[in-house]
Amino acid sequence: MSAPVFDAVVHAPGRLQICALLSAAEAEFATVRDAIGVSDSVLSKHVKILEEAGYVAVRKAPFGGRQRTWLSLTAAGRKAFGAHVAELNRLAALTL
Amino acid sequence: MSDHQSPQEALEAIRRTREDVRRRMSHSPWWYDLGFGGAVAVMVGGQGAPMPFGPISTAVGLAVIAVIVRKWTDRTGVWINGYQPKRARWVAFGLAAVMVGLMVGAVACGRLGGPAWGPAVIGAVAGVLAVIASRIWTRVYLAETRDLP
Repeated sequence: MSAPVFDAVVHAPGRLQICALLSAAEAEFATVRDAIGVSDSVLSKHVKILEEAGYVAVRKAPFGGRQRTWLSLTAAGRKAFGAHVAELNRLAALTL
Repeated sequence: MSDHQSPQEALEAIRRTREDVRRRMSHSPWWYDLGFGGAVAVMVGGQGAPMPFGPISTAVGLAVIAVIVRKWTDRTGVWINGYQPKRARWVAFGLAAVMVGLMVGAVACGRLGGPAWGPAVIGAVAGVLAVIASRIWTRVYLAETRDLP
């Protein structure tokens, strides 16, 4: 269990769900977009911020003559997300 | 979702998102089981065949697995390496160990004077075990994602 640490990069709107999704599996860009209900450009901005923080890795893979983008959580991203969820659980317990 | 969501709301958003992934990972069509089991059966049973059919059966099996994995990821939009999840990986390691043992058995049976039908039976057993292990892996993985922090 990670020590509780609030992470503003993870907590921001949309990015929390992106990290939640990627903590369970690698996912294709369109799948993440549909799951969190944002446009391509909004998701791209979130991914760029997470990538710059070292939390998300981006992989391009050819499929049917075009490139598909796959997103995954890095070890640092997994650790930060775990710590952030621990903090959310701690705060939730305090506010019950 | 807003910046000011409560911890409870944030945790609920995480739970809902993970539920979506779990639903996608639960997708288990008949062609996946048939393709995976068939590919493993060919790869294992083929090791008992005379050269060069052993390497050919391995190549054919791997090609079939590559095709079904691609088709499955195209439909679900998610993927996870079988050896990655901390608990479910042990199912994958166990299956790999059993498959190596069955391959050795198929080689011994096919090339060292065992019954001619031996490798085919061993391959069929391997295929069935692979499908069962695949289903067990999915169940363990789904339980594991439910318990994620």
